[in-house]
Amino acid sequence: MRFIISITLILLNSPSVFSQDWTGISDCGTYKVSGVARSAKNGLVIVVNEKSKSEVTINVPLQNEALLAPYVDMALEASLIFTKKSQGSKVEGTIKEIKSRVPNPINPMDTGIKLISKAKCK
Amino acid sequence: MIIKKRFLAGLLCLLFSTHSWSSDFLMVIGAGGEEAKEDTIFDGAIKNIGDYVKRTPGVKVDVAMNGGHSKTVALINDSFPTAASKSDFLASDYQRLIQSYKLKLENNEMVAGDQLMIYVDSHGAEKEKNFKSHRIATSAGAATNLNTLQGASLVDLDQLEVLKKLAKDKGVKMAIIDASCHSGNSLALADDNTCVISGTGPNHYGYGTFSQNFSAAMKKGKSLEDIFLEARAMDNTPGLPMISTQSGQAVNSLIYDKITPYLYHFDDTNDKLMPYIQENNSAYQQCMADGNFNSLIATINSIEVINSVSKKVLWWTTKTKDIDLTNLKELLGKYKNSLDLVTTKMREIGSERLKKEETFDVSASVGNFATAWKQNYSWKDLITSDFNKLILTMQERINAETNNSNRTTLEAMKSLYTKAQTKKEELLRTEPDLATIPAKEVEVKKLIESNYFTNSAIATEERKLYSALYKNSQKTQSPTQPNPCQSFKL
Repeated sequence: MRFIISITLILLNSPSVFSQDWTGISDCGTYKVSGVARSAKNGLVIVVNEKSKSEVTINVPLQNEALLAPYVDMALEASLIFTKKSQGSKVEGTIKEIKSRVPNPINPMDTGIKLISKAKCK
Repeated sequence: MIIKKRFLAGLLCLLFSTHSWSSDFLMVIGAGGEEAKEDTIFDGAIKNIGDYVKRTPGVKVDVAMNGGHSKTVALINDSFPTAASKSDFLASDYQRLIQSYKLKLENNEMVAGDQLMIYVDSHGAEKEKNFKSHRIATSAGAATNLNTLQGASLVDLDQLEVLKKLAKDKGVKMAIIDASCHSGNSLALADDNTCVISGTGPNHYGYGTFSQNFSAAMKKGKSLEDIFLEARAMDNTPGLPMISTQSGQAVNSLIYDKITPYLYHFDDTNDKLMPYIQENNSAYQQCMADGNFNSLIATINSIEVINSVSKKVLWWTTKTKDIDLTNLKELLGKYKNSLDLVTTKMREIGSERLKKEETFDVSASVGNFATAWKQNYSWKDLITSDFNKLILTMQERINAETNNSNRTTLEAMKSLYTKAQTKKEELLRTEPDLATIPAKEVEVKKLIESNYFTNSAIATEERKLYSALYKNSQKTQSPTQPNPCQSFKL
């Protein structure tokens, strides 16, 4: 019984069990992104799955930051276009649409990146 | 001898009955506008329609659906092995099928007594000014907004009018089953030869279950009206399936507008409730809403009375309700109180002011580089943003930047944030209560007791009301009036 409880506790404490493994942008196209806007050293960024093993930082073009400005430190949902494939936790996309999001308090992991439609890479 | 004569007469009737010689044509289109994944939300209905075709030999079917969702593609191939044509649902496929059926009608490949059913199951947009019905998503692109279908490539169902007119001229019975969101708008395509059935009302989202129930109920010999009533009674999703029969139109005009807000729920992504409240929160509109609610309750009461049975036991009379809609009235009353509270609070805080937009001319030049653009910020954006912090960060970046092109953009953005901050200060000076609105709005949203389950409970009870009103209306309809939904038999 104790063994089962410890295994369960280990599994529950392991973030990799719950967090989706991020492999990067493998398809170009439009993505729906749920995350939070942050002010970083090199400008405003969108952070997805913040403070988890699958944290992803999305940089946006300089002029696009003006769209992001009203959402700094706020939960947001955006439609982003990725024109280049990329690996790793730092990627770059262009904001097509953005709005505030009501975060789900019982599911702090309700953020993520979802491919909506594929397009040719540039 | 008499039996022999009757047998021969029956046989002759069977041989010469129109339906036994007529052909059924079925055009299935849609499954567009879905995001990139293996399957689509339309798969359940696709399988059911396929099962109907498989068990009904002789139905000539053309399928233009989907495009790019591997499991759905496999399902379509498996479900429609005998289809005359199978393709993606692109705008060109839609035009090709319309053209193909137009030619069949013109060239008498489809003749009087034949039947053409067009089954549309896709994402559907709200009605737009230039269209009689509405537009639906093709398989090019994916919809990110379920009201406008932004992101998806669309085609309009008004184009089916050409087939509708030709079918009527040729005596070919026609039906349009539109299971998409906002499909109540397609009822505008109905006439005395074309039956139109929609999966929901003109201002409501549609839910897959109606289409699944409808397609599962499709059996040879059944009329479309009977299938509709059967499928509608089974559905508990907060849409309002509609039919173009006289009775259907009568019930729609009696209850649709009045029940509309009580089937809306608050949704973070695709919300119809908050925009409805914001558009209808004046004192006059509140008064109208009260009137509509009272009228709806009066309609419910009268249908209960009509369907009550009086029994005389000794010296007193008891009334038994055949149709008991007490639960519906309670649910509507409770929900109305919740909406009224939210509407009043929204009016008090004046949250609609936050939607106002300000446009800023942004420009800067550094060396040979120059940039200029216009940027819009809503009052809410201005009130909730910390532009002073953004200006400071921007100055640090400008100081560190050596590339003049980048510096130009950074300077332009610094000037944008400076102008926005000035406007923010001006707003807070002239309308100091604006600053408190965003927090109050969050509190108000918490007051909404509505969610999908509340609406489903109301929808479940609404089915009983609709069935009772429909049956009651049928009694008053003239039997000589054409009813294409009853005469279209599978």
